[in-house]
Parts: sequence; structure tokens; C-alpha cells
Amino acid sequence: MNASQKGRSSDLQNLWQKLLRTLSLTHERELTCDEAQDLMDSYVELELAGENPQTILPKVSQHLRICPECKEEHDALIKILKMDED
Amino acid sequence: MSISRNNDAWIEDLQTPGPRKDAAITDLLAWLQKRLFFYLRDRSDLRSRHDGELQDMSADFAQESVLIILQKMDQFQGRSKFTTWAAKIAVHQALGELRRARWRDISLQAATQDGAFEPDFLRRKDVISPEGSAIQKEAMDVVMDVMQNELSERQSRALYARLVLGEPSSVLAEELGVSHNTLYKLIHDARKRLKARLLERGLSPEEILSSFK
Ligand SMILES: [Zn+2]
Repeated sequence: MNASQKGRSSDLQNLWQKLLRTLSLTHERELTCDEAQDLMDSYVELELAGENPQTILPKVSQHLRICPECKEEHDALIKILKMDED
Repeated sequence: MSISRNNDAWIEDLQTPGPRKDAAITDLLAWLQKRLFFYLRDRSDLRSRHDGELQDMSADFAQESVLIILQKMDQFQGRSKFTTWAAKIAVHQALGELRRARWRDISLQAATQDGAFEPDFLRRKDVISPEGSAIQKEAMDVVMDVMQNELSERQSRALYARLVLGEPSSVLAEELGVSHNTLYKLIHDARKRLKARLLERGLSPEEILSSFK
């Protein structure tokens, strides 16, 4: 096996694990991105206030685990809002 | 700068044409731009950009965001601080654009490579680790069988584009001519089907994952 084939097979291996992780996080009822986005501002405010948003808005937490785009936006929002605290 | 306005003051100022509205827009623009700039400067994929370039980018993002915020004012329900809500919209706008730009670069590079849909992308011996190979092979067969025979071609393609290629969902939704919500449901249904078929065979995704260790 040459280096590029090896790279490709470990990529595929990662992909297979990613698919399995996605399936393990799949629920019967999930929020869509729009629904999660609607609650995102409340969610991050809870988080910044030191509350546990996961217990109050568990479906948003679940969405963030399965949706890389909303997760990226959540993390960015936290960073941006934390600038006010500094 | 009166970023210390409370929610009512923001709403009133932004909805009162004249100097009050102008001042509120100026404050909001400056507030967003400053934060977007520091955020962009912190991103590893933008490390090579000069501050001037990042300033321009953040100014553009902030302007586009403020236009959207003004259009959506009637949707602000006051459940959070106005600035949190505004920042959420700005982040969605900015990151959406960054993803689309990145995707344009990737798809240009991949045009000559293998960016095309491969329905049997997982059916390769070398993906299976020698340790839990039996359970993994069975699971992979189930997944590939569902993708090829039970999911619509649209579903398989959508799942492949998001998971394998990492295509941004906004770009993919446009390509498929569906709303973002419809795309989410399309892929969600596909995931549910795959999971159900695995569970019917007594294969839980968690168990298969643990066979890697
Ligand atoms: Zn999402």
C-alpha cells in the first residue's frame, strides 16, 4: 500500500466512524437548524450565566452534537459575547 | 457609545427614523464589526490574512448583518438581550459566507479529482479494522444496502455531500432546490432509516464504534 492509499484508507476509516457517531446521536425527534437557531441566543445566555442549558434546552444540545454548522456558530457566538466580559 | 441601551431602547431607536435610528445603527455596526474582527483574527483558517483584510471582511459582514437585523426586527421576541440576538444573526451570516467561500475553493481544487458521488464509498476492505471486523463488515453491508436500495438517490447524495464532502448545507440546499429545513429533514429521515435497520439486525452504532478500540 502506498502513502496515498494509506491516507485514503484512514480517511475512510474516519468517515465510517463519523457516520456511526452521527447515527448513534440520531434521535426520532430532532430540532431542525432553524428551530435550533431560534433558541440559540437564549441557549448561549444561559451558558454564559453559568446555568446548564443542557437541562433546560436539551434538544438544542442534541442538535449541537449532530450539526457541525450550528455547533460552529454556537462556539463563535460564545467567543464573541465573552469579549464583553473581558 | 450607548451599547448599554436596554432591549426596549434598541427597538425604539432602530424603529424611529431620523438621528436616533442613525445613531443606533452606527453603534450596532461598530459593536458587531469589532467583535467579528477579533473572532476572524482568532480563526486558524484565516491566520494568513492581514489585519487590514480582516477589518474589511468584518466591516462587510457587519453591514450585511445589520441589514438583515433591520429586516427581522419584528421577529425579535425579547427572550435574550438584543445584542445577543443581533450577534447570533451576524455570526450566522458571517460563518455562512465563510463556509461558502471555502467550499468554492475546495470544489475548484476537487474539480479534477474525485469529488463525485460514490454510492459504494464504504465498501472497501481496508476500512474495516482487523479487530471487530465481523461486526463492522455486517454493519457496513447494512449501511450500503440501505443507501443503495432504500434511500432515494437524493437522500443518499445529500448524506454523502454533507458527511463525506462536507458541502455546506446552504449550498447543497440550493443545488437540490429545497429549503434548508427540507434538506435537514431529508437527511434526518435517512439517518433514522439507517439507524433503524442497524438496530433491527442487533447492531447498535455505539457497539460498532466500541469495536474499533
Ligand atoms: Zn444545525
